Amino acid sequence: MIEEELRAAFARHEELVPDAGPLRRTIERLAVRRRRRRLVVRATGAALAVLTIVALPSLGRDLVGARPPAPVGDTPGPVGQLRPGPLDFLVLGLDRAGDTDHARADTIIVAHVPASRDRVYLIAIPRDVGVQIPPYAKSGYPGGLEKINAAYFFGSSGRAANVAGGVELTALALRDLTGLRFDGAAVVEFEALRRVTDAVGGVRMCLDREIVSVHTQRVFRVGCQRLDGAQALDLIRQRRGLPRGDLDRLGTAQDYLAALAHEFAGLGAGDLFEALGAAGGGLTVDTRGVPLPELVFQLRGAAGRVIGVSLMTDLRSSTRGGVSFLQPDPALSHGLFDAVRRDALGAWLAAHPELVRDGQR
Amino acid sequence: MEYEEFVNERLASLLRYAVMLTGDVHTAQDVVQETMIRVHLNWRRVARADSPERYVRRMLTNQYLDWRRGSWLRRVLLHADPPHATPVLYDHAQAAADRDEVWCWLARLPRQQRAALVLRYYEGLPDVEIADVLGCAVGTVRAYISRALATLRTELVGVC
Repeated sequence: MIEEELRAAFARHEELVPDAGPLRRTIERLAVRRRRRRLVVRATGAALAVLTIVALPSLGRDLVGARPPAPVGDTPGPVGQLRPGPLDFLVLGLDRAGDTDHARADTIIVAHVPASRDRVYLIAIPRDVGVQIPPYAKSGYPGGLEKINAAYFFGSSGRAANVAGGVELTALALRDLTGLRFDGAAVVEFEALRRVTDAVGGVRMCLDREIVSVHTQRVFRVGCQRLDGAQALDLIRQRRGLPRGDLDRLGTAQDYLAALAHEFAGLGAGDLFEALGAAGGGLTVDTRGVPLPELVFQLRGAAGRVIGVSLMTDLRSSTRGGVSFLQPDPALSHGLFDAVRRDALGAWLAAHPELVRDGQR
Repeated sequence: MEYEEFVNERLASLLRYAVMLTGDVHTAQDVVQETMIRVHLNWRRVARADSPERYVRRMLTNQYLDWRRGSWLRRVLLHADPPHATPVLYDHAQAAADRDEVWCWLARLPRQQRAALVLRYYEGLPDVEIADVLGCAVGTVRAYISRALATLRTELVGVC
């Protein structure tokens, strides 16, 4: 019987079937890679990336806390109330390791999207820059000359302690230095970044010098490498032992955000929101009432190109009231933020190439 | 059901099925790999199916039926390592070699016919389910099978 011969032939060849273990690992590795690659095609994802990171909204008035955004489809709705022209967002990174009540925003980044909406500039503000923090009634803070990273603390502590206060006071404190009013803000905790980084399959970072973690003794070698969430977090916490201490740490954090945006840019909207969801309560975004999908749609072209800008050259040190502050070169910082406000940052940076962080990807 | 759970339970049997379909370990791995990457990326949609297992089997079967009809580019990407033949060690007996003429002939059948044979005689599915997997009518399934069996009966001798 031919049927019996067929059954026998199939049974006989069962021993050809290899072990599925290695195949399974290959599938998972390639799936992560392909997910990443989709980004290039889906500019929407890219925009989201930027958004997400930057997340936007302004001055903290309506900060909606602790909720990951709801998943949306790939096609955002019609254009909303996002204002035309250049956009500026405030991004704060909080490292709460060990202390949940007295967080300082040690990582302060201004994300600037020019009117052309084809790129994002990440301008890092060193935490030791001295600023005049205005009085803030909501928290009972009387105002004073402080390091910029204290603004978050004074705004978020006191009677009505909350994240929104920290963001708002930081934005107000930055006004003298930058002259900017923000279109949105995002506050992200380092622990959440670990989960988000793992959710996107890690980030690729390039180092021009070896860094040894003082916390874990992990060695980060020179050159480009892919880091998972725990490794990336370890890396962006390192400042001791680096030539310029916290300034170098900030630079690493800036490169990390750019690397994360790059990963985001490869995700479709669904995957992106899923990755953001991994942040759980550790990511707080204020988009000033603009629906997130709409924001993403508007910024979809921008996330593909993230440019790090450093204010860290020509910093001066000054001591006032027994506390030492850093002061950026006034001419330089004035020129930089004036260019941001005039939507002419690209041209201005062309004349100041030393402020552009390089070496990424 | 979670992706992990599905893979734990089903990956080995999907791989067996693919080997029977393609008759070749490397092609089988490629077909399973490509299918499962898509399952991985679209797990939520797969999990919504009445039977994820049947859904994935259908994906895998379609992948096999369409295999290499795609562009040259895709083929190159999927075969990072040039496939090298895995010897099938049945040469120890002439009888075994004779019987493997069946295997050899299977490789020459049109893919739909071979898939129908595998689903009925290896997987043991009723014709209704075979029709579901192949996306055709039950009558078509029976036609595939009877044509394939006729071919095997008449041409089994001396071709391989």
